[in-house]
Amino acid sequence: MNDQPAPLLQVSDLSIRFGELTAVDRISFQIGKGETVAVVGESGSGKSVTALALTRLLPPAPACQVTGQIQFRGQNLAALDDQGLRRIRGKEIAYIFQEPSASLNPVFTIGAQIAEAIRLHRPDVSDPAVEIIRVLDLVGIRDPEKRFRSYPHQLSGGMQQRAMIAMALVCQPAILVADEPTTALDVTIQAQIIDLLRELKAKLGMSILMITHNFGIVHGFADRVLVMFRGKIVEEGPTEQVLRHPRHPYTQALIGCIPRLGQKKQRLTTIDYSQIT
Amino acid sequence: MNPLLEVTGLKVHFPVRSGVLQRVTSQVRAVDGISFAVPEGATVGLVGESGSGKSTTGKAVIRLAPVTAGTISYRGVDLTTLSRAAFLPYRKQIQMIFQDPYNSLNPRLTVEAIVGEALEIHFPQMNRGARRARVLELLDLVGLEPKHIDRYPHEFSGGQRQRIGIARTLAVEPEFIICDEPVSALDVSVQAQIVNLLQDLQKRLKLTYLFISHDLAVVEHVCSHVLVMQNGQIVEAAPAEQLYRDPQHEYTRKLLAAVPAF
Repeated sequence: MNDQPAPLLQVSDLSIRFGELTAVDRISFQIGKGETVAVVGESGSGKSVTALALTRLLPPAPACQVTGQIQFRGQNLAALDDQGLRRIRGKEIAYIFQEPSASLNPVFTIGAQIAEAIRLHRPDVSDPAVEIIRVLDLVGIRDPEKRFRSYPHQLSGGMQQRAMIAMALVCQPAILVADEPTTALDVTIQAQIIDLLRELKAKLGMSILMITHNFGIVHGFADRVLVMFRGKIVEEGPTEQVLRHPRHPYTQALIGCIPRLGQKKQRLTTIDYSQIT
Repeated sequence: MNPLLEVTGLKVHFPVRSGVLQRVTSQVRAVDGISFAVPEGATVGLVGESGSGKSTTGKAVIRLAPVTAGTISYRGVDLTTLSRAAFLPYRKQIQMIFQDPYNSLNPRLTVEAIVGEALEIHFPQMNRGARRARVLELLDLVGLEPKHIDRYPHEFSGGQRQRIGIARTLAVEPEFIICDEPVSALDVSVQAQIVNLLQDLQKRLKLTYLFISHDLAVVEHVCSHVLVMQNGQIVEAAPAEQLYRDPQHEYTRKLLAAVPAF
């Protein structure tokens, strides 16, 4: 494709080791401006630590050794000092995680938690309250003036995840990293959150790095898919191509074991790991 | 054929207390007048979103939730009227598998103790040696190895932990198992293994399942009959094939439409 945007983030030869264990083994990938890239893999494939490594959210050395280059807008994040990195983390590269109830602080209101993000990263905002209400409204939280004063436990899981997204978006990030953002949610709420992310991406022109084990939500959402298996990217390509014509045996096996509506089988296919090299 | 389990007009209401005097100010109608039957040897699916009352329904059957009204008839006996002692044999016949294999196993106990605990309670005549032999047999049944018997839960993956949970459930030789979101917390590849295991066990041990899940694709795969719950009520009940081909209720259609497909 000729119209592929210039890479906003370029990861080269990234390796992550925890002692003897190599969690991620020399992977390279890029994310273009406004592009949605999905990283798909099972537990332990290295997808979440890859996302965390981007802004040094992993434990420091010697517990965890990260090597390789992470170029963001031409700047190597891996070489940046802590202060420099704080200007990127949360501001330029923001995160939402799987369990919103675990990511929100239970003793502060939603409004106070979003205000903290504004105080740290948006000195340009003169009236935080107005901005908070604007983002709560943007993520589809009804009665933002009222919800502003709600504590996390007063919101449902779907609403909590919307609040997390609002907190990430208030900094107007260039890249939103979404690590299993809908895994803990009901299917109907999952569909709403995916629709919301799609809508926000179009509206704000941000890039999304989606980490998931669910091929279903990748379809119709991600432009490109990276499939991770045992710390390596085993397949990469446009979403439709990977889903319809997976080339790597692991991708084929992973897609094959998903039960699908209207395609009832006698037995679900499982992955025979001995057949995958 | 007579159903194994027949639930009629089941209501589970929880009081909401407020104010200094903690007076009951309202009721949460978690389950609000539902009736259904589970035939012997069948797998009946119970689907719905969080808060629809599906888990509470499962819990009410084994007395983990208080029954406000209605009857729960198991092989013709109304369980709701039984005394604690009279209910005990049903604790053995009816078992439950939980969603989160991480939280449902005691981290301080070995696999032998976890699975053996159920044997101690329900088969007090068994000695230690016989118990260990039975635990090994159960591990084999669920696809775990003999070497796993002395290990602790943290040494296992999510899928293996769910297998331990299933072994514990099977220890007391139940007839009827309530599977409450048994695969929701697992990776798709592991999910397929556990679903296959549950189906194999059903055939081998002639088990009956009430399969509670929000995953409609998994439910279609394993269930012969499906109940759709919303706000404490069953809004649609139909044979699986019919429900998926021609959903009648608007809510069922909405749930089906929300399933990511590709």
